[in-house]
Amino acid sequence: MRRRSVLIGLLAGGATLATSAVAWAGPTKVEVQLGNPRTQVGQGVYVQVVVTAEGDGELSEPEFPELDGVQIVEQGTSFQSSMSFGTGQRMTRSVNKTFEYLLIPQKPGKFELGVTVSVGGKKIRPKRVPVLEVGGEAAVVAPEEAQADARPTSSDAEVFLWPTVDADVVYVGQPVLFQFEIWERTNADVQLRTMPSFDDFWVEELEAGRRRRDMVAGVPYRVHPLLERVLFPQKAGKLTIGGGEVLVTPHGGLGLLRPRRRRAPYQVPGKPIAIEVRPLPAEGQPPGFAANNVGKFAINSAVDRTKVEQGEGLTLTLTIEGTGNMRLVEPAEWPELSGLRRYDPTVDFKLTVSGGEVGGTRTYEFLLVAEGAGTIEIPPHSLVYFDPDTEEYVVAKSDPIRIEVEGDPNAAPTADADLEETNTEDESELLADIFEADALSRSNPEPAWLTRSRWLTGAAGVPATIGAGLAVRAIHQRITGDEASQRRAAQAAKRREAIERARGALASGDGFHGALAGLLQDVAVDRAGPEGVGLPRARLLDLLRERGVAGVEVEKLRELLDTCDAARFGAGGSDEGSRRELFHAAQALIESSAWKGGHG
Amino acid sequence: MRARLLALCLAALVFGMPGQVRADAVDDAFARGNELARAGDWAAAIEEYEQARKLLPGRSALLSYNLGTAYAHVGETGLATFHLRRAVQRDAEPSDEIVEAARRNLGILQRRAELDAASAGAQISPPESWWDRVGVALAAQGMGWLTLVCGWMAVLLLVVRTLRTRAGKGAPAANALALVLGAIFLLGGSVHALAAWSDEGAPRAIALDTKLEVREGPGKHRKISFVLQGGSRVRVVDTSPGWSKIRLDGGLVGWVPERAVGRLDARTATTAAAAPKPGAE
Repeated sequence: MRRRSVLIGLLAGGATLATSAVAWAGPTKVEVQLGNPRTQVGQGVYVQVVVTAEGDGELSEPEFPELDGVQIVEQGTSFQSSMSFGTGQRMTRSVNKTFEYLLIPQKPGKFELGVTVSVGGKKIRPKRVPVLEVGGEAAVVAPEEAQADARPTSSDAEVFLWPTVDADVVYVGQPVLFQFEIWERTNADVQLRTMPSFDDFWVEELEAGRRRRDMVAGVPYRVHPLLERVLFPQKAGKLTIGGGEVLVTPHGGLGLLRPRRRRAPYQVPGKPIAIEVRPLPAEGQPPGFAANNVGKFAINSAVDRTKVEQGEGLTLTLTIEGTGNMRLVEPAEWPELSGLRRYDPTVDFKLTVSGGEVGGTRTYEFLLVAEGAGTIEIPPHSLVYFDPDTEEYVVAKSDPIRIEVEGDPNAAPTADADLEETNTEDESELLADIFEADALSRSNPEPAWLTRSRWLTGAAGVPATIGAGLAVRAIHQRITGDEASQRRAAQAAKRREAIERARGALASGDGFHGALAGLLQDVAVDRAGPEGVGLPRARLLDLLRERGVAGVEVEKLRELLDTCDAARFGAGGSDEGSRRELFHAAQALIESSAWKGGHG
Repeated sequence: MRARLLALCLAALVFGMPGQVRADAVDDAFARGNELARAGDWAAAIEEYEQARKLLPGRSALLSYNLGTAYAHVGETGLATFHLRRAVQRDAEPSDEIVEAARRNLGILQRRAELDAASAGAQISPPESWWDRVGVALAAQGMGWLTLVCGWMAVLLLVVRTLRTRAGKGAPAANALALVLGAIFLLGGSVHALAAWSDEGAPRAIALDTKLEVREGPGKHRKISFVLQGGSRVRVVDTSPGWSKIRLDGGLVGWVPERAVGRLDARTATTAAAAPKPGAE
């Protein structure tokens, strides 16, 4: 018990010691290490900020002072931690955190790297503030005049960016295909840092091509297509496409004989290019002309069916095909439709680049509802565009379409209108009006009595009752027997009685033949059925044959009956032996299967 | 004695007043709604009608009809359809005039919803067919009673036939009638059970939002399967907290927020209360 309390005490003490070291306790140090104190504009320099502290707590990322003209790129963080126990049995936790950055100067000058790190809420600065000295000149890149499909001619640079356009002089709204590629012949990673800018252009993105190899002045280069865009100038004048820039990170050597030297990345700017954009000619320009209708277009219309019933809907599809800005192309105002109600269309478009030309299709799908009856014509739809090749304004038109509308005598008369805004109002007028009452009629319906379980019980009761009835009847029959079995039992009893009477008269012969004849007659009538009752003997025997009794059996019966008659009514008497023989013959006949069962 | 009488009067006042007050408030809100509707301020009328509906303890075909019609005027097809359908339900005890007017408005709403759905590419339930009406009739209480009565009448006739046979008298008419009633019981009972069980397992509901995004699973992060037009008839086949799985007549299924569908079998139209107010956007 005592040992246990000592152990608990030790554990509690350890926990106290551990928790006492939570805050930053020891000295904290911030060190800034510059990869190279001198560099050139565009040439990157690595910087490491190493923070060493003892204890535990919050440690912020370094904050750089405002370095105008230096890009700072985070490269990563590494972290080391160690525990040690001093002479006073106090546990010490040491932390060493390294932050790495890449500095890319954009202009010459001297830059002090006065980094600050917040450790446990306290701002720590390095004892020594390094200074980065940047030489060279700031890259002032003036836009060059674009040349259609120009190719690089100089192989001086290991890495360069190459923008191309397929046209250098265009009209407002005329498409220009722009491609942006990196050409390189160095063992390095090339990363796009800044995208080219497309101010004053409407841009459609295309899928860039695949990597290839090409030659510049006899020097092989790897060409990486980065971007492919269709540009639609939105204003006239000299429009500039920004150059963009890439960061090249050279790979180190193999480092077999000496340690691999790490080379800092450098920045390669692209050259901006300017294209000349002409305004659309004022001469012949229709009023309200849509500035993006520049190119070559055709317009077609079609309906899904030409025969409908009054009040029925149909779909009108309007397709614009050609080259130009398919997303922004605007057809002329929709023509007035007489006898048809038109709803806002669903619009779809598809951009394609084929043979260096940018175009595609734009589709409008209208829902039309036939309001009038008879032959209704959908007038042509039109599109006015400027053709830059012929430098003329052109009107494209679709063909008119005729629709046969079968009249519906029950259709409500509707005005010839294609205005959707009026649609709701019209129908609102058709809505039945509200009802007014002095007091609100109320109903407080009780839950229905016939619930599912009650219905199920009631329904199951029907077959259950029938089944129970049948069961009771079967049991009753088993106990009391039914009419037929009762009749059969009575007959059997009657026969047994007649047999016993005949048997009793065997010795004396008194009434023997009468009893036996009556018994045989009953057997015959039973076998013949109700029709045999009261028939003369000859007719009864014929009926027995008709009932399927074998002729031999019928003849036996006739003989037995004749013998009985002869004994009863004839002169000759009979002895006991002949009576016994007659009795046995009659008994054999009765027990024969031919006489079992009855008819009816 | 006098003190006791006074106490009784006070108790009657305390316990009797709230019901009376509430009834007056319902009628007042309804009257205000009617007045605003007459003035063409449908959005304000809806607020009054909704207030009356919240206070009303039971059902009122008249209130449901006026509320549905007001929603129809502001273009809330889903809510309008829901309340108009509630107005024609037997439980609401609608008059013939209300049924006729509600059916007319429902027809207009259906047409409006079909056109909206066609122009927006939204899914919509097909128009109600005779088969749907047969389904409703088969699941109705009347059908349940009919089958039960037929079944027990058949049992009675069988008993009569047995007694007459035992007495030596034939009962051919009773035999034939029992056969017919038995057949009605068996066939009618089977289809009634199927229809009623189907209604209970997948209750009927109406899409309340004008355009309802139906998702592949319960959650807003799930992909949208299709867009459903407000006013569409659906069945609620499953539920998850805050979400309902719905099925259209065509077989399309998906999940929607629970408040976005109004169940027609609800005792009170509580679902609609959570729907956005018209003119809120």
